[in-house]
Amino acid sequence: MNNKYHPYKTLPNKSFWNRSVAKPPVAEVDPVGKFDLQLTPETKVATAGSCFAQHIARHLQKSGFHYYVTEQGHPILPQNIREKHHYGTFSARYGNIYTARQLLQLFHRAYGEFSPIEDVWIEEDGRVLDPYRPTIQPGGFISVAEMHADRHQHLQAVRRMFETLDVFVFTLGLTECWVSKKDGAAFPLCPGVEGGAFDPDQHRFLNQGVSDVVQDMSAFIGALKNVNPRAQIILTVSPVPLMATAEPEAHVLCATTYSKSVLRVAADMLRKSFPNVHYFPSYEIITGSFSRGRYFAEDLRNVTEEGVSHVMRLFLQHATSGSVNLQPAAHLEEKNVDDFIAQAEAFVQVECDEIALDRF
Amino acid sequence: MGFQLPVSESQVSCILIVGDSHTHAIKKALRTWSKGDCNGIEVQALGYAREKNGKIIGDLSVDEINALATCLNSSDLLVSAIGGNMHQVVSLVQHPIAFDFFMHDESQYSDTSFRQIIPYSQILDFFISNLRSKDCERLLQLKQSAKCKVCHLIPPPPKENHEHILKNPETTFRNNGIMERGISNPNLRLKAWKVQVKALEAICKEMGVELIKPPTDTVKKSGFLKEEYYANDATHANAKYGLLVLNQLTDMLNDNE
Repeated sequence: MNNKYHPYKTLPNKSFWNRSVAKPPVAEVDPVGKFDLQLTPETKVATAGSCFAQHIARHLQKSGFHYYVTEQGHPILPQNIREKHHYGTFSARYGNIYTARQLLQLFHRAYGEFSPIEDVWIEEDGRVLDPYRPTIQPGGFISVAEMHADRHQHLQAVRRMFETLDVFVFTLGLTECWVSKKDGAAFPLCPGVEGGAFDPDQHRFLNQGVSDVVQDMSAFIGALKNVNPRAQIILTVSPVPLMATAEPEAHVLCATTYSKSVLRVAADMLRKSFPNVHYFPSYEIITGSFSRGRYFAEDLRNVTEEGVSHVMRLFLQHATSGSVNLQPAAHLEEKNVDDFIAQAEAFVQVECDEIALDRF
Repeated sequence: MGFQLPVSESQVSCILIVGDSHTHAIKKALRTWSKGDCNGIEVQALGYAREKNGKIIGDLSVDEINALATCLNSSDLLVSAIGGNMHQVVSLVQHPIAFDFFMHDESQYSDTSFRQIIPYSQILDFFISNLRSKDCERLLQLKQSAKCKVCHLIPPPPKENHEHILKNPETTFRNNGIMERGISNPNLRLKAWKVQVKALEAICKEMGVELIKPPTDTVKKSGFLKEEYYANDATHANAKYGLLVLNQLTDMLNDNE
């Protein structure tokens, strides 16, 4: 037996694969490393990001957190109507923000530092869409004036959110995006998919690398600090694979690996560079091999309620001192057909614009 | 059931009007109504019974009215004046968070003092969903019960005159603080009525119910109700208006014959 000292001898169980990943029951796997941010029920937690971030928002809401929403819709409208029109899906009505570039530009647009040249999309049937949140208004806006008025109101709410939140949870979703050739404005969806018209002379494909993401996020983190010096940021990486890739010659599986790898590396670099940035491993909880793929739905893309519950249970465990309701562990017993239907119903509640990419 | 439909032995057609508070104008008009003026068409107006301030007001329950509707002949006309005041509830009293919304032909706000804009499709969705689950549920029951044509009366448009409205507002609006908060901009109120009409058009089309517009002569060019047709409250029309509605309905039945 080798009794010589080496550094691994004193490491905790979480440093070892067998002890912390392979052997524990699935629901007990806890890959959270350093996470020293503490939330109380009073902490104002705002959310943004890709469609996975909607799960986080939904669970924050039902778990006793102060899920901070600055654009709630007019109180004369009942809750169900406001929800249908995407109030409360995120902290303001920006829809899915898939890329770091989109987030940074949202900030600049909110503060009047960037006004994209491509300002509005008018569809053949007369519907008016906001190119930077094309699916936010079911049925579209009725006029350019209405869209501008709503956007003005929206960006006010975005400013209010940035300036008054305590914690900003941002889920990095994609590296691939489409931008304007004129001014670099980043669209959440390729023009032509859910509105607008694709024009190869006006639009180009951009697949961000690590340095692009780190640069955009660093600029955002700095800008947020300027308007709200006490803001803390939690970064997560969406485990949801790409619906489609536009990377030339690439297979969507490889493109997904690239995208998630870039985002994961960037998140860690940002965590190490900024003391107010924290990383929460929802990506690892969902995609880790310990669950043997059971946290993905039948389409191998959407995340099941069971997986989301695992993420949120650990989030609450690590981010609170028992002051917020802990989520019970979801059971992993064999599922029958009805369970899958229930799971399916749960994941379809998430608004994932990307799905439109595969609607031919 | 204390009411009976007119006997149809003489082949006389019948118009049955059922509804809530907007039925009063027609009921009052019927007091001076002469069936000799309209080929002997029989007209009856009934209110849905409901509790108000501890008292039961109205004539018949929902079930009783539905039962009556099943007795109508195919040549008769069943007219709904159900509900009608959602636009008033939404827009009459100045909301603490003043709001406005655009119509299709607008590029300016009605009132620059508003604090929040509501996109049109949200307000339309609100009206459709609310009307469908409340007023139009009874309308659907009528449509399913009756063998004859079923119509729905668009409520009278709003009143422009704030002084009149504040003289004698209904209890609901007093309770909502109309005296303290004041009245919303008239253009906003007119737009809310127009949205209600749009919502009714969508719902009634689905149901196969014909919509009947307010009599043309009762509406100003601007779209508001003419003052001579005001009842003595904030939202309803008077017997003179009811009389014109009766003329519309009998003309409709005569045209069908």
